[in-house]
Amino acid sequence: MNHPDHFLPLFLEVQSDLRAFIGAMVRDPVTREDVFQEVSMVLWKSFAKYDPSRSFGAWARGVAARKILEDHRLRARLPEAFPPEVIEAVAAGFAEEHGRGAWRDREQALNQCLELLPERSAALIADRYQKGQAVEELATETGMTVEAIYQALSRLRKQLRECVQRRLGLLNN
Amino acid sequence: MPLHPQSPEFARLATRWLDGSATAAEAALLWQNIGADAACAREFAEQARFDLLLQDTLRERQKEQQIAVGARQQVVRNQRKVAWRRTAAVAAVVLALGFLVWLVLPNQGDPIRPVANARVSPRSLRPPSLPGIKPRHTTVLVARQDKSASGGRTAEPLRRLLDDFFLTGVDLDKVPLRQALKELEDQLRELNFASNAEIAALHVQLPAGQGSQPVTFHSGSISFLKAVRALAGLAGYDVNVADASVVLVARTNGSPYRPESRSVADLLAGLGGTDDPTRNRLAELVNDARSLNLQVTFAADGNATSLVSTPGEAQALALLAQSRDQVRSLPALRFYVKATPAPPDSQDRILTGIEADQVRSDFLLATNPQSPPTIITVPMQESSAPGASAQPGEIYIVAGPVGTDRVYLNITPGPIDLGQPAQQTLNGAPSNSQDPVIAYIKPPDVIQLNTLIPATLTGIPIITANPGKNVNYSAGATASPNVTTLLNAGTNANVVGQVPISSNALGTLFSTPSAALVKNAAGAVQITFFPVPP
Repeated sequence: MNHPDHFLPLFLEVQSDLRAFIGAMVRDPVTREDVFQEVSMVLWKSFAKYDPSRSFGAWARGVAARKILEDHRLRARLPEAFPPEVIEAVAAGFAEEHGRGAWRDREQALNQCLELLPERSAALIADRYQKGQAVEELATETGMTVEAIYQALSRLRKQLRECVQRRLGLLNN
Repeated sequence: MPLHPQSPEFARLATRWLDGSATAAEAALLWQNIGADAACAREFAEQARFDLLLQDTLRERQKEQQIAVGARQQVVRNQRKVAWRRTAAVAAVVLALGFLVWLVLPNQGDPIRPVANARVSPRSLRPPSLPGIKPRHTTVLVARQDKSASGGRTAEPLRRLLDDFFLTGVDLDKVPLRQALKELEDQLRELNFASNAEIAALHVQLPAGQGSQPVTFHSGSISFLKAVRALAGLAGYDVNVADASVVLVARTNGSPYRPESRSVADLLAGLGGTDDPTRNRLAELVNDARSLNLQVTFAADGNATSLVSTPGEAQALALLAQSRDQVRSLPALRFYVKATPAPPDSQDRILTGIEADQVRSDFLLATNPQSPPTIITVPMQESSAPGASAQPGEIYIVAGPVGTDRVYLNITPGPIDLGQPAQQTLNGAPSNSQDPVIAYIKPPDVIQLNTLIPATLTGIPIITANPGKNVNYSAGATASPNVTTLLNAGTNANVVGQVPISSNALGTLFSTPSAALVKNAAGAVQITFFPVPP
């Protein structure tokens, strides 16, 4: 029988990874947060069933995957070519877990990288991911094509990700 | 068709899915690859993690910004509260004292009749006089002076702005002061690339009917304010900065035109020390004195011992020395060049603003704190070599890719600091900050700027390509050729650009021969900058 006191430290350690896993499949931010809250409640309520010899993160992702697959509301949003084995594959992709410390380090590195962005790039990133402006809207504002905005964002994301990895020593220059 | 997890196509699909913009076909292809390849699943997980990290981090930054703004507003509110409480307390004390006075003082007759006829003397508004200190200025434009004295909020930033604003140079030979000041103003406006409203609205004011004194003053790059102060000093005026004006007021103390012999050693001591052992401040002082037509006395050993100058001329000498110090304290102007081993995908051309920004992002984000980036910056400091010209000059740019290198060359001079990449503009001149002009050079060419595609980019130099071998660059925002760059394809295989910066306000900084070599995995790129002999 797991002691309830053990739940919170385990949960806090994996919560960012769990949110990322849910976010990998549920794109709507509001729904994603709802799912995360619901999964968190299920984890808390069924903590007694958790086998401490297994990874807590893997167990949590399993619960989340079942929730996504069983929820008709969510299921309707997923493409047809989204069989259960794909969710399992995605869950397996998260097997190499990132704990709280790793997320904190990444956030710190990303902040440093964001500071380095030229003004126009920083504005584009902020407009899209901070203010949530639609790509079409950004295209109209900047006079670029939608595809060019996607490409610019994709390139910036890649540059930022590599910058973070470099700063963490995970990528050679 | 299976995709490699590190392929651009897989990255594009993942990004589009995470961005909510993937089509059904794109989503199907993505899931097909994730289901079939564990490496794709891991890469997708990394993308999803980064997506969340990016959103959370940006949200946190936004919150911090809002908190900072809120805190500032709270401070202002608190200050207002404190100020109101203080006012209320003072008012209460005043009321109480008034009541006491009313009780204590004899109060016969009409209470509204004044008990004494006191006049507010103008003297009471004057600043307290200190022993041995006499007022230095006339009272011309007193209202402006008073406003400036009380309104430091407006005068100080303007003073700083004008002291940071560099004129190309000053060459005045026996020009009436009023006309000389007008020339400085004209140059100020011409160099106001950023269309600063304060600069545009600025006027130098002289008392009516004055300003016919001829002044002689020669200088290289010098701040506008220092130039005005030097001219004013030479003509016997002091300078006040107030609101949108620079006001000259006649000196009343001493005789502004009486020449006195001054010890060179004393003058040098007054200029302060310098850490640069290569500088010969004595020689600089003598050169300045000669430019002002001052009489210099030399000892038998050839060293200058004294010179004869009026107080204004001595001030001009000091300002010339300060200008040199100020110019040396500016960030070094640099060009930057990046060579990449990736093969080119297009012809030589100037990148668009967005592309240039992406290249800059690439430069900056690729910086690994543990290892130097593949970027070279070539500082363009003013030469301190004896006899070197400090005048604006021309430089040649030599750069060429080696092997299959692709070279990006930022051809807009400007300070570069990888830690502070955001904004640096001096006089608002075109810089590498907002809209860098980055040339893309296709190997195996040497930089073939003559083949660059004409481009019109808002607010940055416009490139007008002439048939043949010339490309003319001129500042797009203003009609004046503030940075006129003429690039000629040279006969020498490597010399490809000739860049006169004759009318750039910062041209004097470009006079040092510089050469550098950058090596990367694919080879080397040599960049050489050297001045054109006059």
